[in-house]
Amino acid sequence: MTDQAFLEAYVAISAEMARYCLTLDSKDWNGFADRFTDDVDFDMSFSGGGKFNNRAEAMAMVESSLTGAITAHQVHTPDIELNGDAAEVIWAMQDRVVFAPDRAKTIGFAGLTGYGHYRQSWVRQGGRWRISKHMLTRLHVDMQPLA
Amino acid sequence: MNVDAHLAISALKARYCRTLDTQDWTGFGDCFTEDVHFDLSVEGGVTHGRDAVVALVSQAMIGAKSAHHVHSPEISVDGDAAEAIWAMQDRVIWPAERAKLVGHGSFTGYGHYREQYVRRNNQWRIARLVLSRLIVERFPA
Repeated sequence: MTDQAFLEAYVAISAEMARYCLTLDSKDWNGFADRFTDDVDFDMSFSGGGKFNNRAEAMAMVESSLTGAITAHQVHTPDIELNGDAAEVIWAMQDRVVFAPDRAKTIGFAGLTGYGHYRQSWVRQGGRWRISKHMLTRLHVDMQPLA
Repeated sequence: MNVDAHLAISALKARYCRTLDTQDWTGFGDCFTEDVHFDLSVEGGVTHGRDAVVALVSQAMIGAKSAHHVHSPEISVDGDAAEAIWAMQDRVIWPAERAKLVGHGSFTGYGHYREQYVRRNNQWRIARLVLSRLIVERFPA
């Protein structure tokens, strides 16, 4: 029998992850930062990015790398393991990124469509779930040539 | 609504996609009943039994990269049996030799998984899987 605590955590974490995508794609950087703990372990090293051990540095990286870009992030089918006020979660993810024109020229690509998994740890603090560990692994990335 | 079964079947289908795309064939096989009916007749014929399914899929995916996503399930539960229809999308990139054989380098597909499940020993597994397609876009290598 699935207990009430699991159901509540499942719904709350799913809603938090919806806000993750919404704030990221609408560039609401204060809202995006609020999804993470202060000391979040933020690891994009498996997907061509950096690895950070605090929120401020991670947010600065995300914001600067997406300046002028258009993004659409989707997450699906969470696999959630709940342990009291902590949870381990894996999401299937897909993202579409259209690079800013200047950046597209520098990189040599107009954009990308990527597929992978977010592998996360979550903690509940003061009744709110936040991401304490955030890692992106990739299955495949389609790079879009310059027009 | 049977929330327990809904969540368990959603977790099962998440595991199906993840083990398929990370090529964890033991984990993939564990998603199915031993006598599963596995119907990819739109592209790969009908296969019976877990071992045959794992052999077929693991062989087809050698050197390939894939990402399978499933969304918005319609799930109905009747005791230890259940049915679901999942919207699905997959991106598959073939290795060079296979690309030559099949005549394209990769595809992005959209369709539905129509599935039946059974619960035995408190474990839901896929007993029947039928894939139908809405769109398959093929791309040169």
